[in-house]
Amino acid sequence: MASETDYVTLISKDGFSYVVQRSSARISPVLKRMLDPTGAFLEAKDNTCILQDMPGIVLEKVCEYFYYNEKNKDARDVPEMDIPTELCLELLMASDYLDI
Amino acid sequence: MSLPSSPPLLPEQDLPTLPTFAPIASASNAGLRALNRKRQLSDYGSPSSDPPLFSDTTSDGGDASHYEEQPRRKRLVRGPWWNVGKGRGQSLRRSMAKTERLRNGDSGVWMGSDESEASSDCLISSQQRMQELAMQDMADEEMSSDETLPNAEALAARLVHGCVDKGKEVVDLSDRGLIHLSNATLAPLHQLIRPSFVGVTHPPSEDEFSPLTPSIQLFLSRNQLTALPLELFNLTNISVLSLRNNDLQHLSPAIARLNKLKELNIAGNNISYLPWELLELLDRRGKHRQITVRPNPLIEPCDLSGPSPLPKANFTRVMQTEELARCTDTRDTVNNLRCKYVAEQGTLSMRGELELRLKLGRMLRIQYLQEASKAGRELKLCREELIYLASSAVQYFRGDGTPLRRTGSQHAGGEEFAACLDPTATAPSGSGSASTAPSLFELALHSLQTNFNLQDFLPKMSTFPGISSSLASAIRLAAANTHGLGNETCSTCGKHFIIARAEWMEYWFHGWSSQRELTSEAVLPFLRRVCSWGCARPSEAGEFRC
Ligand SMILES: [Zn+2]
Repeated sequence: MASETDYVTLISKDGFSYVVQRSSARISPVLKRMLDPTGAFLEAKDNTCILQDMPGIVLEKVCEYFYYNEKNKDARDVPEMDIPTELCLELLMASDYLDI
Repeated sequence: MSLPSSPPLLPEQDLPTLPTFAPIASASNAGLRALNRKRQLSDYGSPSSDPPLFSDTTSDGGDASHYEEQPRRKRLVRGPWWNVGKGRGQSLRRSMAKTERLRNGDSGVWMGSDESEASSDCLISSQQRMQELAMQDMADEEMSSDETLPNAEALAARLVHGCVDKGKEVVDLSDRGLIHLSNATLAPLHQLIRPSFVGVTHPPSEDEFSPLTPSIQLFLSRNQLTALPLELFNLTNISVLSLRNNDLQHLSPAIARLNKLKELNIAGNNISYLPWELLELLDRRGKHRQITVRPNPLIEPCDLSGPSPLPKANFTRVMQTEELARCTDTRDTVNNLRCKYVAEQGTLSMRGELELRLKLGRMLRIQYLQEASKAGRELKLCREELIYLASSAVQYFRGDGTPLRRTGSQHAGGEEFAACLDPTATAPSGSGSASTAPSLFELALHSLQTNFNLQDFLPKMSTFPGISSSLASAIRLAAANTHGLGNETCSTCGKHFIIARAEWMEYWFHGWSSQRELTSEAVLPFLRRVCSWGCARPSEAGEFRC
């Protein structure tokens, strides 16, 4: 069983990989489960998640959200995060899937 | 909701591969698009190199730097969103045309002022035109259950027109057997002006304008209304609203929009809790308002029947002023009372706890008033006290609006909203669980709501297997908000939201300071809904409003 690293890698369906802080990715219960080193998922072994249904352009925005949330979780006046109009339905489906 | 400020993007010259809006082309594309969509969605979940459904075809999805270069530019997309954008354009044009028509109708009222020699014929014809317009609107109104407009409502519409024609501010629609009231019936009340100025032949000046603003008294009592038309909450000139003896189950938070309201009566309905916004209306801050809530089957925090569990001599005695001044920490005093009770009598019941909290709130309120008067501040007091008592357990929701964990049985006679000592005991644990940042789901849904015409998208949604049922209902909610009174307001931070992340019931004492014991008549339940888990912060024992 591999040890828990500070960073994890998320890979999109078109092969783009994004390295993010484990703590910020764990706000998604789905990713948290997949990356749990005590769990049965293969993903936990090499601290890498392949998101087969997510294009890179969407995953990039998801990662941006992880940091946005990390930065603003205690903020009083939370600024709006920019959501590109053409991506909003895909992001909606992605956030629905990741439960974030 | 405001109309989109800019028209939908049209194909640009530098994007030659994109299809045009030609109807023939779109008809022939329809089949192709459906096919495309189907294939795309069945692929959702399997690795595929197909371009994403709604992302820009000019960026191959991997060229991140290219994407970074122009992050803000709205680009045309292929797939069903074409239809959405196109539909939006059409309905925008339609609604603009409608506004135009209405504006013409409006100016008709001032016909006499526009041209000095305008005849009365002209005025009458314009009034007729307005009525015709109102009738057209009525016909436009989508009412599934109404093939024929019920006689009761047709009569109500005539009464409303009569009031508008005569400039009569008392609109009495009570006892009319109304089971439904549409927006179109009430909408003419926007045109109501004070009678004394109906005959003038010049346009009103700034000074004259405010006396023209009516103070509408709308009586809808003794009907069988189960819902209120949204238009009612746009009639901000209502000063008296009687909804007594109807079949309403909820009162919309939009009631807070009627900020000129002096009198509200919702007695004799089927209302089991009040919107949080009504607390703000009860908290008058110097404004004199009369709000009648009872009788209604309002839920209770706990059993409040029978005598108080607290022995009168020790616990519910009034604190003298000098005694209060000695209390350096009022909360300690009340805690000591609680400890004393537990030592002497055993476990304190919820009812007893609420009475101690009432006492605490009263003491803190008196101290606050004393300090205010010492500082020379003049306070306009309500005669009634408004003191926080308790909350139910907070129900948390996921980003998509589904409940996180069931707390108690669902909708079983108000049991789920019973008062508890630790309302946030069921708070989700883990990182970010107390975040006040909006969810990505909310952000994306809001973007969808502002940038597309969801009304046109809804019928196509069922053909989309990639959309889960919770996502579909979230989109329907967003569309309904756009169509209706806008998104909800967070009761903690005031931000607008589409999907509530938590809700709970708060019980407040609303009664006279002379009342020693809690009775169910003096406790009001308010439903609070918030934008984030971090905003799920119930009021604290001892809170009060002046
Ligand atoms: Zn909030």
